[in-house]
Amino acid sequence: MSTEYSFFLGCIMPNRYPAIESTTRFVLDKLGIEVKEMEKAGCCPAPGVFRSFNKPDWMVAAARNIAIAESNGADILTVCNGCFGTLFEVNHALKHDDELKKKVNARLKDLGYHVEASGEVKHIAQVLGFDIGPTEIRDYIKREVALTGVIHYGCHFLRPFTLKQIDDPEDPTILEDYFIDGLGIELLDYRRKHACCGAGGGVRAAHIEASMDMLYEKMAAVKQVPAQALLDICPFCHLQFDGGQQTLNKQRGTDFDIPIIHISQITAFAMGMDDIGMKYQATAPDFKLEGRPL
Amino acid sequence: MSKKEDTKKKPRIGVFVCHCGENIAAMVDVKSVAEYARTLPNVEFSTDYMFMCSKQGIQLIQDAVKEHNLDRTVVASCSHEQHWPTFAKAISDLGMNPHMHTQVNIREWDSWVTDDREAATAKAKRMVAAGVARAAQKEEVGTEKLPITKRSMVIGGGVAGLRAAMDLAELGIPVVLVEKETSIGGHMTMLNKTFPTDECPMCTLSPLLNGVMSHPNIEVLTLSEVTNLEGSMGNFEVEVTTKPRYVHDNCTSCGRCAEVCPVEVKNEWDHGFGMRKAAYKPFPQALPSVFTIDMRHCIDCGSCVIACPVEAIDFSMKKEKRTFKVGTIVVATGYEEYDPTEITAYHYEHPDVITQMQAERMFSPTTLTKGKIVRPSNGQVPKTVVVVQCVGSRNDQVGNEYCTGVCCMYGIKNSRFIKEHLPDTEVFFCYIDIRTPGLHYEEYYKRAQKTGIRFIRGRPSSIEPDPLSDKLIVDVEDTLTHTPYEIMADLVILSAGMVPPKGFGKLGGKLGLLRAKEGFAKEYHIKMGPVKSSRDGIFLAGAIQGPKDITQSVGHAGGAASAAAQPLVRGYLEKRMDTAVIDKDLCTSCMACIATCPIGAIVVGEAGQPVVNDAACKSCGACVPACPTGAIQIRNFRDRQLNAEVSALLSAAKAGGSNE
Ligand code: SF4
Ligand code: SF4
Repeated sequence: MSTEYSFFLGCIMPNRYPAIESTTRFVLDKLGIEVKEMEKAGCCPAPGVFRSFNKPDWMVAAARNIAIAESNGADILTVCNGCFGTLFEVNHALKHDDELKKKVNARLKDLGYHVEASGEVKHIAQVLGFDIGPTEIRDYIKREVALTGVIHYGCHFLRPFTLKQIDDPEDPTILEDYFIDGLGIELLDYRRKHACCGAGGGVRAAHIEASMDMLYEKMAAVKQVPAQALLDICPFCHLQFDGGQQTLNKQRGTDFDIPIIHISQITAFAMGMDDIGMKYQATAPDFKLEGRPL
Repeated sequence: MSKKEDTKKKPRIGVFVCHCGENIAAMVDVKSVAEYARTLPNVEFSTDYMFMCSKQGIQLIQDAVKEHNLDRTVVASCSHEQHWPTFAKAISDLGMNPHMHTQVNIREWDSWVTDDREAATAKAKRMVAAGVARAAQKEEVGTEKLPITKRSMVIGGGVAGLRAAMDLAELGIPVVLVEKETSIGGHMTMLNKTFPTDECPMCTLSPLLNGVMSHPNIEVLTLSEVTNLEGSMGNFEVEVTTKPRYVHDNCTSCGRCAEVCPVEVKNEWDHGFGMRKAAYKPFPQALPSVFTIDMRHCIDCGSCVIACPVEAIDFSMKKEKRTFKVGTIVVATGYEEYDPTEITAYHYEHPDVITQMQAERMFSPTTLTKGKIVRPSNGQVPKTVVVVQCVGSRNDQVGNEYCTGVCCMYGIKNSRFIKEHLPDTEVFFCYIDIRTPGLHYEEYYKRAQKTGIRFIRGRPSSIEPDPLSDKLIVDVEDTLTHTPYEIMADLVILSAGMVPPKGFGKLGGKLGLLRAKEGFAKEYHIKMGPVKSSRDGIFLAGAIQGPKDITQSVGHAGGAASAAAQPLVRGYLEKRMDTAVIDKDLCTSCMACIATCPIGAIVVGEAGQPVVNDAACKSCGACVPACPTGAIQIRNFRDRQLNAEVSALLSAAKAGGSNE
């Protein structure tokens, strides 16, 4: 594992959930990982919509971000499935296709950048769940989390498997191992656990009705089990779950009230941070996590 | 022909340029190629014609040979493989040596691979110039009749192997049938019903099984595998290794040994739906009707030895190796059902997710369930069954792009079977496309539609155990109505495709067979040689050449038997002698050629010098560059002949026959 990372913020986290950013910085600091800021970093850009319309421009914009990280001399760290999807895949493509790299660099030249794709792109869930792992994380936490929760993996963290090779996307255990063995959380299985939240791929922006249908099915399945919270690893899923529950309650008369907690938030809590920003969220702002001594 | 004659007599060459309809003429200016040919050294005559291979075209060549007193012909048309024999025969009918014909391929190597007419024409000219130069250097080569062993071997005792063995035996050819399992019959004996007639497979197969077992021309070797192969078409030497059965043939099949045997294990033949003892026969009608002791599980208690009334059990039996001389070989090693484990989204490890082969066993009356349709997890009758098509077929994620072609029919068959036995059970049939081509198959599907099976056009994205109940959640979109379904299933049956049997790589390697990228044995020509393998004298029968249903396998096997019988019935092999020859004066007996020949066609002769086995040599030329002194050459591919060709090609290019 690296001892320093170029921290890629993306769009949703700094704008909608700054608490995910502050908890991530807290966690990295506790782990002794140095954060290098990515000056002038742009949108990742989103792996679904942008790529479908214009793949070359999508690649160049992503490569520009990768180039910024490279000038820092540190691998990229993201806390978002979407950013991870784009940056990982473009980095991978550039690594394995010299022709493509030439073309992309020809365009980056005008902007004053050059990409080598010599580094790695990592997701915080991979760093916590695998690089550090459920055993070693216990050296860093101050308390276990007394919580019965459910997990949402999201789409881009593990797929496409042939490229990412982190865990079996059909039956992953990386988060379960981390939350159960590392943080002491009790987890429940629920129907539609591996279904999409309904946000990505431009669905939330273009077809809000369909997006809400998907969310409704997901939340209805969560409600069938006695979970106190839903744990996720992506600010965009986070936005969909957190804001979307309120939308559903308003428009469809449901009473969804499941607090949504990002992996950085819950890890920060276990490491001793009390205010992980739940009060700024739309759903269950009063929710308080309980700790359990180690 | 000696070198002296060679220099004395000036060759008289005729060049014939073919249009191949539009295949060549559309891209090559055939007239100008023919005109150009006339300017080449030694060419006495040249012309072009619409179809050289037609009767009229052949007549044209023969007339020209007679009229212009030609002694060599060059036809610029298609591949050597396709029509060299046609034109060689045309001139040999006139009494010439067939090797005096040279084929130039301006179709596959030229017109078909470009859309630049000018470049294609220039290239055709260069190729003709090279062909003419080569023709001038050609030597006469004879054809020899070689003796042959009148016996055939069939590897694999499934329905295809049985059919091939029977057909060969009926032509009076002695056959050795090699089967690696304890009994013959293969997958067909495991099936519950066969489409499209819903017949009992054992009833259909029995006459053939019994016929093969008792045929005076067939020797059946079970528990046996081919472990080595030497020689070539007409005279193979095959080593067969037979594992001990630990029961002698005087076994009366009384079954006492199994009664007393204390060890019970899963019966492989029942695919998880039946048990057997360590002393066993896999199914009641198994042939040969002799029990087997499975030494992997035997605990050596000796009960069976005491129980056997005819003292048939003998633990001292040993592995045996025998070598058979055979003229031809038929490979009929069949297929294996695809193992769906790697498609993790389908959770095949769940007891209520089974394959069609398992369903066949569950449905048949001789297994643990006694033919009842149940959920393996709890023995209850399933209320909702989902049949999933194209598992491991038409799926490039698992590397199998091909359609197995059989699964639609057996999937429909088993769906119907469930509906007939459990009319209140909902059966969902999830498919990508229904593929039921041919007589009686579409009709079968139509009838199935009327039974109330719900056909859903969509491939399930996942089959997951429900965390809240004992059901399976099948997620599938009906792509005809754009409706997503979440089916709560009690039983899921995966129509797993057909893949080449494990271990075929090893056998294929021993036999020297080329394999297709999917792992099946590659046929010689997909249309015109589907039963020939890549190796002379070895033929393919049934699903080892690619997925087939029983009807197709039996037909294919009949073809293979007939092809394998041809040389044996004729009684000799005709071999063209354009093979490797060794110049004794140059050869230093370094044996580099022996090490290089991929098929072992060169052996050490009595005088300690390498000797080429003309019958085996495939004229591949691998030995030629291996020889440090240039002693080994292929007739009509000698260095001087190839030099002439290449020089002509280069000088034609320089002379402007090129636009590069
Ligand atoms: S010796 Fe082996 S096969 Fe015979 S009864 Fe005992 S365990 Fe069974
Ligand atoms: S030409 Fe090929 S097959 Fe013939 S002897 Fe040489 S290497 Fe062997």
